[in-house]
Amino acid sequence: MRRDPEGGKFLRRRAAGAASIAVASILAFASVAILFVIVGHVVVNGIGSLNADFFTKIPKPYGESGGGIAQAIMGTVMMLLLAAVIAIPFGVGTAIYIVEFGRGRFAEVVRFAVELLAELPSIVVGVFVWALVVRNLTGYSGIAGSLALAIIMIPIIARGVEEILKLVPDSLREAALALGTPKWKVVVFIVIPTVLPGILTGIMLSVARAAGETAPLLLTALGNSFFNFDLRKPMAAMPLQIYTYAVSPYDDWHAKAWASTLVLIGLVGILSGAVKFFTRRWKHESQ
Amino acid sequence: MSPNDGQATGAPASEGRMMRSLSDVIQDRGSAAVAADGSGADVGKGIQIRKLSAYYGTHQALENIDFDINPGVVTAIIGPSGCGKSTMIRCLNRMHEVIRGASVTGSVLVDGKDIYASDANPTRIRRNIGMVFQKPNPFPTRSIYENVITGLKLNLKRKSKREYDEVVEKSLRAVALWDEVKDKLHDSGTALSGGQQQRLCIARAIAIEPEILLLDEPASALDPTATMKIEDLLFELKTRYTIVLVTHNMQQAARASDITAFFIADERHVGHLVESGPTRQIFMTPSDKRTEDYISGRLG
Amino acid sequence: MQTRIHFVEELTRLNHDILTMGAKVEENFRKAIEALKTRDVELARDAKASDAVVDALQIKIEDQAAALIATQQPVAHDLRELVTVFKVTYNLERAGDHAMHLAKLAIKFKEEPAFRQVEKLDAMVERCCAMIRGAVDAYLNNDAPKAREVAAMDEEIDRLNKEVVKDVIELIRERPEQVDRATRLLSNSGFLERVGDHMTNICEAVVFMVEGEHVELNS
Repeated sequence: MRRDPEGGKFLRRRAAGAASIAVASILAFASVAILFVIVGHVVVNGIGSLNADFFTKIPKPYGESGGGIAQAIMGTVMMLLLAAVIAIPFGVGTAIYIVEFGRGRFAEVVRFAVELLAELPSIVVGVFVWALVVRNLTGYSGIAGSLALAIIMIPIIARGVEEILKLVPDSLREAALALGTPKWKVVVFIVIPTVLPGILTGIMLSVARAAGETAPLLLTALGNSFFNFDLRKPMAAMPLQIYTYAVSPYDDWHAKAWASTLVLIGLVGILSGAVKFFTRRWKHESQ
Repeated sequence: MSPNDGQATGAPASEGRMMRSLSDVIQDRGSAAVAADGSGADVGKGIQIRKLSAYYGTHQALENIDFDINPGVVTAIIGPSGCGKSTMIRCLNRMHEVIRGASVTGSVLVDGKDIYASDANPTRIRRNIGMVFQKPNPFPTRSIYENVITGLKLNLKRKSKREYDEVVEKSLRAVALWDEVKDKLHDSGTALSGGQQQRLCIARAIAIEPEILLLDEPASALDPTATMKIEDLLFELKTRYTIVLVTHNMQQAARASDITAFFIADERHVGHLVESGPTRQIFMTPSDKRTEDYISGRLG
Repeated sequence: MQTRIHFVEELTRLNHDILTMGAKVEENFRKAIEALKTRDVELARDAKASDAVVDALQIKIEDQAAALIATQQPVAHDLRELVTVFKVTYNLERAGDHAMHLAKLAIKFKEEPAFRQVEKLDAMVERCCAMIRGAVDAYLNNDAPKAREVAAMDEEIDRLNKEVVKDVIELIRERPEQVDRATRLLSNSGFLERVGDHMTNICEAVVFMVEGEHVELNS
């Protein structure tokens, strides 16, 4: 490093450097602190209401103590599963189209559309499904909720898988093509197996994201205080349950809202943890 | 087939040849020399390149190439960076067009048929032409065994386990890798060393029994010993395949090839053929000044 | 695993040609001296014509060696060996010329009566052939001790040459009218002495090839 002949300038530059590092560090620390405050607050307020019943029982009417959110956990799981079944083929297919086959203007349009879809506010998705599906076809139902969640998941999966597919070196595709392999076989038998863990990661990320959505479910699945295994009927979901508890005037329900939030954070946390675990193992194996 | 059991490996000067029977030796020589030339061996078929130009979008990379590639010999394509030598080799099995926006005019005759004819199927053409790339690229999710038979399994009629076993052993022996990997055929191909990986890729390319083998700088990522092994391998394989070798290492072309073609791109022309001929002639008495400058390290 | 099989094969083939060249030179000497002894003009013509084979082999071997240097980038022993090839062929070719001179002598002397000096020449040719065989052998077998041994044989040739010179001087004194024959004998004896020197050159080159050191043998 060449030293500035004028000592003053050099010192000033060093001071500026040190200051910028300090500011950046403080801001980074603040961001982490916000997360800790939120999680801490949720844990402190929610932990008291957590017990076995909370996971196995349905909510009790106001005034009776006890009860849980079992029907909401179940509703969330069922709707997420259906949403995933719908979203995975569309999301993965779109990504494969963009990376492997898409050429020219149409591919650009598809890519842009996926980006737009990803940035769509989730309430808009809810309104859309409500207007087209709830009003005309199914009424408030688990299916409508799944559909709304699927629409939210598709662009997330598509973009995640697109990034993963781009990581596959072209040399691998060329190796397979040079053996006289048709393009579709290259994708199915060479490209996808190579990044399968990465694709699963992308899918799980989208599931984690959809698990926390409230707004679209309000307009589609509506919510339910009882066990319901029929996807054609209104269905409970954890974010909805939290919403119901939180907007009530009762302190006991407020405590239950905190506990439900804690469970939801836990669920999303477990999903993200699993994603991290799989990605790390995959990276490790592919080296 | 394995190079280490050929009798040629013994040190030549230590065979204790005595001069007592010198006159007898003179008689033997004539017949031995004919066999060593390899003339009349059963070999693959040649390639004729006619008026070939290649483009990336609107950028032209090769201009009006006319060039014949003979069977049974190693033909090396050399030239400075950007001379179009890699593009040239990728035009020979229609891999050039895999790159977005890439296109070709002119024709390439393989076995007398134009692979750029309108009814030609690039996928089928590639099954007849093996290709090995600059960086070893075994399929990472597949074992050594599966790597070798990938082309067979994906693109040709299904065979029995025993037939696959035979292909794997034959192909790995042909690239002198069998003895090194026979006890770990089901390990991942990526666990091998770089040189072994590249030989695995050659085995994978010849497992589909092509007539032509294209190698695009196959040793550029390898250490000298692994490089020598690959070069020896080419020498073994050339009796069975028409081999085209692209290399930026002109010493490698000198060592490993029989015919050398020199390509260049300059201010006036995009990549084009300057001259081609027997490797010894190109390296001892090149006819073009630019060839001489390049091979003697005074250009590019 | 041995690598560079191709290069090793090419070197083997090259050395095969050197063996052939040495054999041809030796053969020409034997034919020439036999012709001289038996007054066999046909054999002498044959030996003289065969020098063209030696010259052709020299060109072939040197072209091949140059091609190997150009294409195979030899280093260390391989490089020394290929450099030695040029010294071997050069000196063998010179020796071959002297075999031709001897053959010409045999043609020239076809009408002459027998003379006693031919036995000394025969002895010199015998030793020259031994040196040619030994020098080529030492080269092919990478044998430095053998090269030193072969070089030592040159002394005997020098000694024989001195005897021939003495003999011829005596001849001139006795029969001055034979001065023409005498000078021819003298120069051919000198040529054979030179053959010993050429083979010594090859032996020095072989020692360099094997040991990497330049040596002067029998100075």
